Amino acid sequence: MIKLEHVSKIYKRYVIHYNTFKSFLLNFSRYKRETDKIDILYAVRDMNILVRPSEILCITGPNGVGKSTLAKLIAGTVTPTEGKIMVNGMVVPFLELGVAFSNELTGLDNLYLNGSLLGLSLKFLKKHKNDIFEFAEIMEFMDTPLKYYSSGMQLRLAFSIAMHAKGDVYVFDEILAVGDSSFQKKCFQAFDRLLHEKKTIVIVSHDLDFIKKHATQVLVMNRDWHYLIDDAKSLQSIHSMDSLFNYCFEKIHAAYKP
Amino acid sequence: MILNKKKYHFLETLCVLSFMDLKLKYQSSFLGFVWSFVKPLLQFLVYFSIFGLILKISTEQDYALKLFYGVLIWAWFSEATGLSLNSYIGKRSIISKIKTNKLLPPLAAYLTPTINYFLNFLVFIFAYILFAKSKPEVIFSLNNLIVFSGSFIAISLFIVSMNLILANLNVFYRDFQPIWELILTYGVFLTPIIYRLPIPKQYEGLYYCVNLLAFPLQNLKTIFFANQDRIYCNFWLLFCYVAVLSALFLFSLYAYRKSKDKIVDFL
Repeated sequence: MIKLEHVSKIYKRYVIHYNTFKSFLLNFSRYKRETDKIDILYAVRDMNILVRPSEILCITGPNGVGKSTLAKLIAGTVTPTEGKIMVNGMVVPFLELGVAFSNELTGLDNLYLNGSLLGLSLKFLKKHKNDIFEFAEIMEFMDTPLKYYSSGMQLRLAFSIAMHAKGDVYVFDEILAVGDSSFQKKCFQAFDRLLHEKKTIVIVSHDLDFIKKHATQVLVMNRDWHYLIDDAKSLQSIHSMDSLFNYCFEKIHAAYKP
Repeated sequence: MILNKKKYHFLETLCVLSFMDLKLKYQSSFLGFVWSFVKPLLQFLVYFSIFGLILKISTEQDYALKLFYGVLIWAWFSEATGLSLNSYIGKRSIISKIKTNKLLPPLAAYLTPTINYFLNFLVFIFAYILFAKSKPEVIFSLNNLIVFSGSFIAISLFIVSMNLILANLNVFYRDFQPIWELILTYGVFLTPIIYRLPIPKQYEGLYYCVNLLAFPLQNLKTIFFANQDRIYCNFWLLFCYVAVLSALFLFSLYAYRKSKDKIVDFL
């Protein structure tokens, strides 16, 4: 279960350069004087969401409206400035694949490093290392340093590790499939398995057909507003992203009509 | 049970992270793992040739061994704190993309040089058995065991505290690395490694409370060498040292708690 209560994430638009100790000392008086005047930017504003176990929340909207920030907030990598987030169970983030990879280490070492950071035990990783490399179709490159892997091979390994993490909540930021068409098919099968296992899923997507097919809730985000559609089945008559935005806009206006 | 499992996984991840850091560090260098032994040895040879052979600043017995042991402790401290400065920035992608305990990088920066220290300590023991002349009458005693483990804990606490503070500071002020390097350059001459500073008796307490590495280092020397000042027998000095070290540790935890949620925003 994921519960967001009045969650906001605010960033400051610093104008005084003070990311060095020297500039902090030089600009100290100016910084003290102007610190309250610094412009703030709401990446996420007063968000209230409840995603029950086995539900799928799709987040959509144009670029720069805070979708990835919201995904990071749910994944726990970023903390909210205001409000409270409760997530029950282990979260597996697919925000960017292979972030803990080191080019100098072998594929196997990277599996241990990345897997441990994703919450998997060494015992599990040692037991399932063959399954993970087999899924990634790079079995013979287990002891090869990662710098000799192609970018596709690295992504496949990263995807395979994350998919083998037995999480309760999966957060995807537009990454659902990687590699060539046959591997992408495998990725979608793995995603279908998550659906079959009734995992709670949060996914950032721009694909309306995908949203209509899988979502139980849809969060539409725009620069000045956001709207949560609780019943995603009501979207079947919508055929474009523009009409989805119009639909949400009308709902918001209707709610504020006296 | 859940808490124990979490703690176990935290320790496991810490070990994996430290081991991989160690592997990365020596894998790409020509001398490989041997470099971890060679580096303090070279540092020792530089100090010994200048201060021991040319300047002849000390005529005491086993000066070379005492210097070597001091260099090992200093290498442990300087390497750990140096690694901690970049522990968040160097692992930016991990910190900002995966939900990880933010204590992991500064603690891994402590653990990797600690493994190195233990390996180098074995070299010291080997050299000690072969060359030491001023051995104390008893080495293996309960008293020495307490002093040895107490000093190890004190140095570890000092390093961990500094790591937490430095790792966070370097996120907010990126020029802290050269500042810290300057402090370390002074530190090596202000710590009883090459020579013992002629501190007046009335300022000894202040000195050991400001230079938190000097007190355990001096005490460790009493285990291996005869005729060393047993400063740990001074109750007030010991009390003040423990109080200052505890205060520093608590402050580092406070600083970590205050800044851990802001780190990702500033990386």
